[in-house]
Amino acid sequence: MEDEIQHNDQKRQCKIGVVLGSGGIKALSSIPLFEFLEQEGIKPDLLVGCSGGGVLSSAWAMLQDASRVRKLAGELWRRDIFQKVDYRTLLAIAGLPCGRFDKSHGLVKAENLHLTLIKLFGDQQIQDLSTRLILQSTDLLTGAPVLLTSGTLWDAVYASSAMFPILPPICREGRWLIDGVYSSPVPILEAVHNDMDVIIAMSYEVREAEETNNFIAHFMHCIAYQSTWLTRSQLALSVDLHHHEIIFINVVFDKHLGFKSVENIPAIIEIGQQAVDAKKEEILAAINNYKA
Amino acid sequence: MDIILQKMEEFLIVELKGKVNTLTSPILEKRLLELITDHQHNLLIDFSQSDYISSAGLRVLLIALKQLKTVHGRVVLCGQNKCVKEVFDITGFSQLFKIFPTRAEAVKELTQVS
Repeated sequence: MEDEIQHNDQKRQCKIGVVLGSGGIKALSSIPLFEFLEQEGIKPDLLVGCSGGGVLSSAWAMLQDASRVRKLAGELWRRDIFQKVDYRTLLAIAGLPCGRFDKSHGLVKAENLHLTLIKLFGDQQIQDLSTRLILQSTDLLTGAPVLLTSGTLWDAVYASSAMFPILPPICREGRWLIDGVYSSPVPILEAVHNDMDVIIAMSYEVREAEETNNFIAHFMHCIAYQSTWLTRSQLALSVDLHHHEIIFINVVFDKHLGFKSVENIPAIIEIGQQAVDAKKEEILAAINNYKA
Repeated sequence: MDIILQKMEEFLIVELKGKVNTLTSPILEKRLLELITDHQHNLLIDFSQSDYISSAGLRVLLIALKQLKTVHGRVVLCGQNKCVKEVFDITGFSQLFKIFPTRAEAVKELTQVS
């Protein structure tokens, strides 16, 4: 009994941050992490998300229920969200008449995604969430990292995941914002900066054997490689600056999963389950071994 | 975790046995800093008997690396299993350290450069 009380006290004293990195649909593999933490009665003090990880962390912060996030998976990623091509942007890229491009446009129109995010998040304000949330975005004009900590949730989620030039940027508080992957794909430094004692960080990596001739797939590969190396340099700095334990959960996929890979959602969650299962002991040990 | 030392002519082998985690990394830090203070400036850290390292353990290695750089010393690592190598790779630590698959290769590197 005394041991249990001591264990619970330690859990309370230990500040826990969960960081979910960029990865589009692959970020659905973080759902088993939410389920595990809920089963163990571990409530994070801070959620930090970027891009796909921003969508998932926002959903969990708002719903506070992993099983509801799991049910929402099919709503978060649907084929029709990315179906409206902006042909005038395509014509502009080709230098053809009637083409038009400026910083408010992308290859795909954002209306369907906006509507989906508004439906999911309504008028929820970030600062009113019961778990503190930080979303990572990037300033389109300067490349500077931008942290979104207040205001309407749905447009912050969009700003964190607007993979320009595929998706158009969004203007928020006078700044044109794009995907956080361009500045901090796995924003662990924010959890370090906010004095979290145990940080659980999930990243998603593709180790694809086969080459492809698909333009978008090549573009996504380049973003993924850049993201991997940027993350490594930021992780090394985070380890150096942090005072307790950072648990890395790197979920590895054997093929590229694009915006429309909705048929793979069950497999993505299962891969996440295996990755989380392998780290459960490590997460609990880090929390239980924490001394304030 | 046990730390086994083996003195060679030009360097010291530090063999780690067991997990390097929150509980054991302070012991490793203390030992490595004692060795550096004791003028052991060329270290070979062998992970072949260690199957786990946490971020606290990585931080200790970084402290030792920085300390050794101030005295123009060196540290090379060897014998990492798949799990330990994965942690080094995803955290970017593989770029910070010279790492060899086997002790023999690490010894060759240290003796050649010495």
